Amino acid sequence: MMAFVIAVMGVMSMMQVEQAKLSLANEEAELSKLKDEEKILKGLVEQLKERKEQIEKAEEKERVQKDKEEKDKKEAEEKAQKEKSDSGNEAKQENKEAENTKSEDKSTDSSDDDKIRVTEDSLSDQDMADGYDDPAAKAEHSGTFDNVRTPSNEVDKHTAETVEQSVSPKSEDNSAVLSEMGHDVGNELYADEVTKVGTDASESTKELSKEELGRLVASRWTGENTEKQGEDGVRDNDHETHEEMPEDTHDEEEDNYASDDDDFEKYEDNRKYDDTGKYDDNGIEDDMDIEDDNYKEEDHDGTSTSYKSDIDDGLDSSETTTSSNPSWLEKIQQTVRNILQAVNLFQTPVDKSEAGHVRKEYEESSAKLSKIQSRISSLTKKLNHDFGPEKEFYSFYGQCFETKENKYVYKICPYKQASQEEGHSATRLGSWDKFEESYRIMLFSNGEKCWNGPDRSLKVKLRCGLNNEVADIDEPSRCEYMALLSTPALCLEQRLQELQQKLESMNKEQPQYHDEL
Amino acid sequence: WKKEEFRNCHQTPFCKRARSRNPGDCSLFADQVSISDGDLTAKLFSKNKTHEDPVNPLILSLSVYQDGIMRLKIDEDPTSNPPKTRFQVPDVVLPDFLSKKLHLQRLKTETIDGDAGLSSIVYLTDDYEAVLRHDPLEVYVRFKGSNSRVLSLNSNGLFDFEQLRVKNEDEDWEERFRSHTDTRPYGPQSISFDVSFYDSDFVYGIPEHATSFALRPTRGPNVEESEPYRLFNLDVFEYIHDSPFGLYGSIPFMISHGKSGKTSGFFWLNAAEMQIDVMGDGWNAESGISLPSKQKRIDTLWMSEAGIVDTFFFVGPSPKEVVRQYTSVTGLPSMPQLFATAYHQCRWNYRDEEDVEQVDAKFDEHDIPYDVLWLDIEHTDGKRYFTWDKVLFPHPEEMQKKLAAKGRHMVTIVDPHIKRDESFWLHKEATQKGHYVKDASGKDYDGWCWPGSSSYPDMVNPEIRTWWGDKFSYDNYVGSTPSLYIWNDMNEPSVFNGPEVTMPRDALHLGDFEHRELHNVYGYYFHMATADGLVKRENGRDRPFVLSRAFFAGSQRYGAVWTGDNSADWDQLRVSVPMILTLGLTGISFSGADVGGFFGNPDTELLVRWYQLGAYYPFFRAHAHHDTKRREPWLFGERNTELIREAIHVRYMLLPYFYTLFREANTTGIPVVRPLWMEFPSDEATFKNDEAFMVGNAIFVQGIYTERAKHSSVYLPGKEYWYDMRTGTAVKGGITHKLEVSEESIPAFQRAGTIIPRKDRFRRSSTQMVNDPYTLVVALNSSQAAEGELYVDDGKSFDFLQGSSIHRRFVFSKGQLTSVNMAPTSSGKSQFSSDCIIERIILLGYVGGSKSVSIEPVNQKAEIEFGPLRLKGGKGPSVVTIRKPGVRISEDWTVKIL
Repeated sequence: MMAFVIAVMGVMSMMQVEQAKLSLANEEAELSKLKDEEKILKGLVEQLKERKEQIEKAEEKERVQKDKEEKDKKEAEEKAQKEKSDSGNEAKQENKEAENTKSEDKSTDSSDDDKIRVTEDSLSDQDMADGYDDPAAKAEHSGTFDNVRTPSNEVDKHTAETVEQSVSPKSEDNSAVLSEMGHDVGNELYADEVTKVGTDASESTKELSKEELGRLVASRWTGENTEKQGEDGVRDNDHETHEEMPEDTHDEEEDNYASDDDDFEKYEDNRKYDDTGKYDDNGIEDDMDIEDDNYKEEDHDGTSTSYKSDIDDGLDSSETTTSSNPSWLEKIQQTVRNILQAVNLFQTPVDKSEAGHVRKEYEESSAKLSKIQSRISSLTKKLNHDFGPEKEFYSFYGQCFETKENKYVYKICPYKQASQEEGHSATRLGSWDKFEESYRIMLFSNGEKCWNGPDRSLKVKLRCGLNNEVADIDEPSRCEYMALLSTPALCLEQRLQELQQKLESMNKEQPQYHDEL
Repeated sequence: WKKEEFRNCHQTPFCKRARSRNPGDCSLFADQVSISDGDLTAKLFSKNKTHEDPVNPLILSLSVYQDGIMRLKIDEDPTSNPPKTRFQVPDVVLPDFLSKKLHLQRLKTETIDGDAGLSSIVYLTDDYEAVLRHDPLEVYVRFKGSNSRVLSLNSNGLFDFEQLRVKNEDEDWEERFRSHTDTRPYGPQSISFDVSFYDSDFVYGIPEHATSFALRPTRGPNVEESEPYRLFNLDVFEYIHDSPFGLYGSIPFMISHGKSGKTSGFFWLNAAEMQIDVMGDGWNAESGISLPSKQKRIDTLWMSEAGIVDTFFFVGPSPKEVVRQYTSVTGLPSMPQLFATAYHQCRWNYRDEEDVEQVDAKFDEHDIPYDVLWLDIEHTDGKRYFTWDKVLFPHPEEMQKKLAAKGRHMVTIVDPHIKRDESFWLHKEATQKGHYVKDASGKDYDGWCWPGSSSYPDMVNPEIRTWWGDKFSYDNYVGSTPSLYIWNDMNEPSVFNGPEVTMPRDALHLGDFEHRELHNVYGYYFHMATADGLVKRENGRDRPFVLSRAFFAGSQRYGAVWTGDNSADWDQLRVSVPMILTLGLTGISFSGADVGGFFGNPDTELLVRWYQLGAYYPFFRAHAHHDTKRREPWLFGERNTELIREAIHVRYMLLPYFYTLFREANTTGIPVVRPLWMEFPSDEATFKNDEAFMVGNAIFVQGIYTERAKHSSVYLPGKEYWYDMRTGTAVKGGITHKLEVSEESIPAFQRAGTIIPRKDRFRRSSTQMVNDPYTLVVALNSSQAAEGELYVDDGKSFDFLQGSSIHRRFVFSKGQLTSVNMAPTSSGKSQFSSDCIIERIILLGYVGGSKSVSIEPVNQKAEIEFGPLRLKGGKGPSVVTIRKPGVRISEDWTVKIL
């Protein structure tokens, strides 16, 4: 019975393999065809563009001509009026001069600021965590902090203090204006302040309540932020803030967070902020934003399911393309030829309807081109993937496997990424990396960083099974996940190896110590 | 390590005061010297009447015990009505010891060295005398009738005793450190004095510190000024590898050793915070004080925050005798079960039953024996000890039974902090019964630990210890089975939000004694209560196993300790050796360091080296922090699995030898793992060596402490040869060898003149090896002789105390090997017997060409042939082997080479 099942599975997997190879061949053919079409279309678009630009030039010329005529007319009118208002002009001139001096001042000012900032940087490098370098920025954004930092008041207080202290020397700097002397004093003052801030910060445990102190110390051993509640709160808020804030402020905000002193670095999960930043970036890179819930929701009966991922990678967009109807390209070619012949460039004024025609045709063609190009790039990307020696993993592309384990839902999308979701929050366990151990393991790496630990990663062990099904998600070492994926794709090889192992173990079972005495 | 979180001496007023005293500052003299109740007693008065010195006289008493032990006590005079009784540590000195007191009858007085006053002299042993010099006050031990000293107290006049008194109105007794305020309601009460060790080149002992074995001077003209060695039980996060800073346990016992080959020891029974300075040569050159003796000596300064002077002087004169004397006061190491001496597998945390099952199965799959699987805090229901997480461990009994079926055991963690949760039965009971330590205001002390808000049972109270012990009954500890044993962690006690991560000093214990007076003994009591509980659980039939992190003098009676939360780096591998040697020297024979290092990820080479060294630790356990990668032995590729397997096999092979050594420690106090100079007391080259050690008297081991080592400098002590444990090759003693090092092993040698019993077959666990035959490895010395012992019992019960055991002495000389009975005739009902035979006798260094032996009394013959040094591996070196002598270990026999 067992042998039969395995044989069936073997056949199934072979069928799949054949299918995969067929699809791959089709896609490869499509790709090369698309590349040809792209070449032709590119040429057409170039021509249309050229023509369009010529038309535009002509139109521009026409316009300039018109303008000039109108201007001449106007100037004639103004000349008549000018003689009446000579005196007013002088006053205007003076004003302009004054403005010039002012801007010169400004430039000196700002260059000084730069110098100071350099010193600050070196100070902060020595004495403090990175990112302590821009107190001004900190002051500006302290408002944002309050939004982000939620539960632990003490920490907030601490931050606020740091901000205050680091702001004050800065303003002193400014008031000490520009002499060389003033400069030195300013810097020294700043250095003092920095030390002081450092000390204050290191002693700021004093301000913690006994309970918080307990948590703080505990968190060293556990590597966890013991205040779970708070962590979640912070995280949520953080996401919101991200959405509201423009990119650059966001960066500065990160810097500010990194500036806490050692004690707090451990306590208050600073790196989290970096993480989130990173994760957002990655999300963009991978075309995958977990928050946006890219997965198509389906009815999941079992705990483990698989489905096509609804990722907008251009692969499934049947709408475009092109391949089905070969005549479209010829059509366009024809149209373009007609247009190019029809339009008389030197006709003035430009024939409005002809120009519109060219524009429309240009726009349509280039849209088509970019669609083809995106299809090419996604196909290339797909075909560059390693689908295994027999292309047996071809069908994994664009699929996701999902399983529920306790409160978490795990989503594994081969060639894309894997995540762990709890309610609305998702943790990225890793991005697709590669196969390992001769296609017995799928590795997802560079997931979200663990506090005090490694970047998360997931290894998916593959084993032969009737259906694609994830089971046994596990975290044997902290933040290193392990899952088991049953798949028909593996059945043939697996069976062979099992037999081999059996043979070997039979050989091994010879008595070992029979008479070494 | 967070330096600023802990007080240094300068921030500790009593330490700062004591350190600033000058030689000769003490103005006390003894008066009313007499013999009373078999003791020498006196009153101490001060010549100065400044308020610095005691206003009321102090009471001194000096008693003498068998085997060269002198006890000196100094306390306030109860008749002068001090405001409070000072704390004296109970339950550490054995009742047995007190019965060894020699009742003094006569007092001899002398004028020594032209003193103005007298000295009183009493008998100590036939060779030693105890001397009390009246003025200035000094107490010392000397060789009888000579001026040659062994140990002395207050020879430098640094003695100081802050008497309890009523607070003056203008005084502020509070002490603040960081965010914490110590109310110090009883004010200053510290004690300090100097102790001198004569004919001494080095001093050792006073664990626990991660530092060199021979203690370095902390003060002196050519010494880099350092903190004193601190004794204050602390939970130190990521401790560093070379620091006099106090760690998890404290044993105020110091041993001195010198070129003369003589050893002496000094023990101060005091559980308050202690700081100890070792003075460098010439530290007091400017004081003008010169001791009458010309002997080379080492001066030390002892400072304690509270308590009394209760000190013990041990005269030695050999290293083993000092240890024997010390353990006759504080107790002998308990005899562990056989399984506990084998390999332990631990991790924070094996997460659920499936994980446990898989790890267990993998050991079998990879042919690696192990005996115990450990569960850390996450196995509980929300860090409520004595409970199980119902999701992760729904069937704890079944899980333990599965392990037990393979002869394996399980250990779960039970810490002293109890979650303050009204619905937790243990907390409810402890609250209702008033069993918790109180804060300064008298309320149940509430500190923060793993479960969050927690309270701590007052283990100083014997009733509460009994109550605690009952919690280990199978009824109370639901889900426990007879194969489950216990791990006590965090018992310093660790309090995350307390001063220096521990309990405030003004917290209150039984009898309104303050925590400051007994801090260092809290963990000891907790360990004691747990071990007693396990004994009670099986009605005294089963030997307990309890591992503790905190310890005090006497902890050896209750189980094993380990060196706490070390880190995965080479320096910490290196420092594990002096730490374990120090523990052994101070009575705690059963100790080890976390193999692999607790914090961080060891690289593979370090892990392998750690297993190779750890296989020789008395307590051999791998452990890892939950942030680290998995590191079970099979996770590093086939080659490394093989190397680790081999290291663990070495331990299993040597288990009969180790078990015999544990029994030796259990009867004599002499530790399983010993400094070289304990076996070679006059070999000066060994005095500072703390990278090598002896396992028993027969095996020399030296770790490899560097990456990619090609060579290792190994000094082999003594005049005789040493035999490489892997190859059987003979190497000369008394010189430093530059040995080639391979990845396969660390240098390990068997000493010529010794016999080691082994079991060379490997099974799943030690308990499955019980019926396996033995191999004897006879390493012959230059006169073709050797000796060794074998101790065997049921490995589990207390029947051995009634003589139910096999104890043989093997003697090889004049071409014959004899097995002699060493066991006393059994007085108990059950007689232990074993059918085990000896399957091979290996002769290393044998010269002679005989081909056969005859065996008496059965009058059989057996052959001498070449055979492998070890059964496993096949291709090993060939050595002279007596094959299948077939003699029983339980019987007398002689094997004669024909």
